[in-house]
Amino acid sequence: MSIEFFRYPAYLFAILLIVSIACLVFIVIIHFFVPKIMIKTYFKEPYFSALEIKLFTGPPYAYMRTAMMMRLAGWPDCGKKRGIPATAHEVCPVWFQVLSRVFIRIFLTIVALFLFVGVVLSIAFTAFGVW
Amino acid sequence: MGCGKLLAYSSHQRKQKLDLLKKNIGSLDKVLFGNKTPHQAVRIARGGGIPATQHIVQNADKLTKLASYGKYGGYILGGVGLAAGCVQIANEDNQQKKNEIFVETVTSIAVGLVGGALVSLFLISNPVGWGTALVLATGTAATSYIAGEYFRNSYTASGNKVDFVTGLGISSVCR
Repeated sequence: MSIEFFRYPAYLFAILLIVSIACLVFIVIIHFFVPKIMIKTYFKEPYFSALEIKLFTGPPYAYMRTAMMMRLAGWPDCGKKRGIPATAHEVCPVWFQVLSRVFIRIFLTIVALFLFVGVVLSIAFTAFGVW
Repeated sequence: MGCGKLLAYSSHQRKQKLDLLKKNIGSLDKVLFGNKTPHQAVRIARGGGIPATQHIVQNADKLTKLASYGKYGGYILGGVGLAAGCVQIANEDNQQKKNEIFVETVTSIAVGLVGGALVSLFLISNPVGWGTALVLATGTAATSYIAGEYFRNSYTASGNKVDFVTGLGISSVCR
């Protein structure tokens, strides 16, 4: 097996990075479409600490709040430990719930693939003495 | 509910909330409250002349100030990373090196942000204390640094076929 064999996995790795960046851009866009009622109802004490509310409101970490709200919309049970009722998804429209479920699955698949290909390439490049 | 029962009930509720606060703050309570426990620091002010909730408000302010520092930290890390990359590109004459710096900077920031999104997906279902939060933040920062180095090396190993710096107009911005 030569190093040439890893040329296409290396391209795939770069493509996965670009797609991950595209996912981040998507989160930033969807940030403006998160239902206001959901944020008003659940992104507050006692579900979140004062520190979390301050930290995840506005730049640079606001996209993390969006990711949290998307998971909450897609998987209502996930807020149980925070005391968020399992009916949390009912305040947001169906399109947001569906979009959240689809997007998070795609995002996690891409990140998992990215990590897997990265580990394989690291081992290969180390074995072939590329770096 | 009688007055005594009501007082006992609110005292119990308050204790529960303070226990939760103590759990969330974890080992950093010394930084925030000094030698006092959260229960002592956030006690209701019984002295005359100040509102009963004075201590609670003061400590809530301390928490939100910490959040502000965290935000500034984010700006500084991102901003300094970008600015440092830009200055390095400007000071470098070799086109290949310029591209390597660009790939490293962009990858490192992107992987840091992706790590942040992953952490938030975890955080919604698992409210964590300070210790875990610090581990998560450090882990994300370390991963983003390693990814930057990794992509820089991969770019070099691949034979530098794509000239990002010229193609994306980076050389005209960072000069």
